[in-house]
Amino acid sequence: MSTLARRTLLGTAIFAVPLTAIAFVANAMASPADMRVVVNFMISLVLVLAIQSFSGNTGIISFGHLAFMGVGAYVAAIVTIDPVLKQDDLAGLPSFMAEHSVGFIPAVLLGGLVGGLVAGVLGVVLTRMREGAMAMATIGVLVIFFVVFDNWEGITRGNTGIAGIPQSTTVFAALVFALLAIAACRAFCESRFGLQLRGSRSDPVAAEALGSNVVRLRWVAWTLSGAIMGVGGALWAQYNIAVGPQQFFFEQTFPLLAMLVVGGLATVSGGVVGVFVITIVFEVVRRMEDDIGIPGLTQIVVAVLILVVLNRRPNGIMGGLEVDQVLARLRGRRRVEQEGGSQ
Amino acid sequence: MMVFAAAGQEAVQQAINALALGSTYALLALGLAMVFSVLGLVNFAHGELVAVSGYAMYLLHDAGLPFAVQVPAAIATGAIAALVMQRVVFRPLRGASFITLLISSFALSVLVQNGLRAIISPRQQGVPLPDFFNESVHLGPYVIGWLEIVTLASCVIALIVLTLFLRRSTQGLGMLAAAEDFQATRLMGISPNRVIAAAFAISGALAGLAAIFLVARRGTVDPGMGFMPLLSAFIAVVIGGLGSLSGAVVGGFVLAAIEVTLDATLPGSVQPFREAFALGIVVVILYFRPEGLLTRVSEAK
Amino acid sequence: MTTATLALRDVVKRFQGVVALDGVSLEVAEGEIVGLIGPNGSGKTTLLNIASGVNRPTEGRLVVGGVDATGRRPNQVAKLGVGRTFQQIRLFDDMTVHDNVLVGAVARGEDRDHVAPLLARLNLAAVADRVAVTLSYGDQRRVEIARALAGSPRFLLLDEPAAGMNESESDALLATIQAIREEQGCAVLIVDHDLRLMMRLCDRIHVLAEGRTICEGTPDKVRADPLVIEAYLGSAGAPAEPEPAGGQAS
Repeated sequence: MSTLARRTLLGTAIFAVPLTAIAFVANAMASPADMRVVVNFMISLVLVLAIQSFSGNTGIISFGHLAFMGVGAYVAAIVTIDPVLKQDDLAGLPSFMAEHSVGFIPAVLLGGLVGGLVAGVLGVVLTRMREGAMAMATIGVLVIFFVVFDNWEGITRGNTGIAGIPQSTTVFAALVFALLAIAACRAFCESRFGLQLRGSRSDPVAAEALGSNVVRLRWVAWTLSGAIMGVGGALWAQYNIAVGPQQFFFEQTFPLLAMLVVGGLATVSGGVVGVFVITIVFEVVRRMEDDIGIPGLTQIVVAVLILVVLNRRPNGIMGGLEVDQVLARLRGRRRVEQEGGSQ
Repeated sequence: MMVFAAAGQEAVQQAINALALGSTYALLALGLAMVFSVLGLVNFAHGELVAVSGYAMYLLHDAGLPFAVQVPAAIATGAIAALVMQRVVFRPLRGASFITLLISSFALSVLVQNGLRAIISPRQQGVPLPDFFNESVHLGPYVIGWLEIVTLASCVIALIVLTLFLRRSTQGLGMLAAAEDFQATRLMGISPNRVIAAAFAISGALAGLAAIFLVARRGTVDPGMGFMPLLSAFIAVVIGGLGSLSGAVVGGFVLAAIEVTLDATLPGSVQPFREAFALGIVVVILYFRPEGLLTRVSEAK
Repeated sequence: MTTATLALRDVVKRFQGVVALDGVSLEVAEGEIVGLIGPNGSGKTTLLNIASGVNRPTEGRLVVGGVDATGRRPNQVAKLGVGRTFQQIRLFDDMTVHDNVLVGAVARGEDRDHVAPLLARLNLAAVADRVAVTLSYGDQRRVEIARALAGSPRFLLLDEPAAGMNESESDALLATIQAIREEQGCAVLIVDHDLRLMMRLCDRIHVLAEGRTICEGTPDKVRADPLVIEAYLGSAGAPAEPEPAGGQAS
């Protein structure tokens, strides 16, 4: 088996065990409120890993990815709601879209497809820029899409948003897509694209001198991550049954980036660990916030957590390593200790 | 002939609006660029300097103090808040990567915003300003608001003072040298800590000044008030070329010109999409000049 | 003239008005080892930057294997078979030695199993799993060479590979470069201040001073040339002094 396939399978399998266990336990005994937390956790994995597949490999942070999540979510909303509802609410739709609806899987795939297409077009311009300028230009992307979602009445229902989306994302569907996202992002990271990008992340001049077309590689990563983001948005819409422009703007960008950075931007495992840690912190503090009555406490706690983690561990909890590398090191250290003890 | 005169009059008025708006953007963009040039930090919390300065005006107004006191207080608050941010958050991160700094400032921005929300109130608070700002002057055929005049004049004065400081004083020359090549400051015997602190203090003071005009336009303050102006300043900085001080100022005026022009020319039905069109134009500019307007295309060493 | 050469023709390079290269022509033929020497600031690194597409010549042409590559991006020049190392080491610091070399291979569409023999060839097999930045200076230089070779270049440009090496390390480097030429058949253009190394290694030596060619020929011819002795060897008598850091843009 090739290195790529072996690492992808191992890296996915290590997370598959606990995630599957969580899904089964939640399915058996979780209250509706806890179930929401679990399903949104799985969907967040898809979203955070989508951002990781671009930012982690290129070293360029993106504030604009929620635009592609929004695209996926609106696409899924428009193609799944009952045609009767569309006639009243979404008058701007072309007739073939107004008269038909599709099921869960086609909606998810369409979300990913359109997310990828939109990202691909924007990426032509964005990936030509220097690293810092591109990061800031992604902010512009987020604002452009917010304005469009907020005002395109006939298609998005503007500020009101679209409600009445069938709730089709089950905990197991979310689990499957989370695992697919882990596998896809790990495979990309280990592929010739990911390898070259990680080289360019550390030294773009050296990477170009070796023959890497850094602009094109970044475009590939950007488009792929836009597609995965679209998938995540489609899953999200079909679980939370209503979409509106505010859900794809800055306030929602912050927790996703927090997850990525706290866990460790550079690796897929960092993304997974970050989603887990921040989800728990969010839930614990949110429950306290209701008791204590300080508005915004959750955001304050997460912000402080980010500042502390970045100060102590600039590469996040995982410190730039994949979980299988950590395990291999631990095994190596134990072997050394045992050998040392037997002498 | 009448139509022509009216169109010309309209154009002049639009131009003045663009200049007033652009000068506010320029103040914020210049502050961002100063900090970026010495520290490599794009400071997301710059918008919160505006908010904190705005709240200083609100608190003083609440305590019954006049506008003449609120103005210097806003500027001083911006400068002090920037120095505190620098010392507490960014100094320990010296030498960290671009992303680490960026995300830290993003977290700091969320922290301050929610801090204001928790300590004062999540709701808008009114800060009424002297009636003077609502009046206009008639200059020949043109009607110009005092607010626009004062904004523009203050910003121009601030830019001139800052330019003189940077070009004429030892400290200022050191900062300019640092903006060009930060390593050079050590060779010149200038303390990097002082240069960084000065850059933050100036950027905070400029944010405080901008806050006065933003509050004057809105008549209110709220915790998130710095955010949209900051976005515009970001875009201005990117248009001008990340790291270029004069580029930031030029970018501010270019962005304002685009926005005011679209405001005047777009048909009503697409008017809500104005921001998207403006950013679309910016993207087109960046497609042809990926390094920004004022950055020379640099060659790798 | 065969097509299997890397040629710079009448190259002029000005940086904001300052002339770094003033009409230099240089050719490296298949399988040849050509040395490039000259005092500090004579334009050696600029010449390598132009030969690898990192800098664009103000005037003149770059021709690689019969293809006019003037003005092409570094990655396009690399695709024509030009590999290089840097005076100030530019490894991918956070990646392992193995992965550094692997990137060099996949960037040019080479196979992954290309890496292990190269690591062995450059005596790096033992440190393959170490993170690049933790290696000694001499090891890091060899990783850069391995990484450049992983793309199977026809022309290898080395910018001061012996800098910071002691005598025995530089002897080993000499043997390695000769072996690379034998085994891979790739030509080498090398810049270094270690004249002991250069005189033994190079088939031909090209001497630059103030952006112009002052002498070109076999090591013996160069050693005897009065212009070279005056411009380079004569002044200090000990020309192996290292260039100060940061001087490479000159």
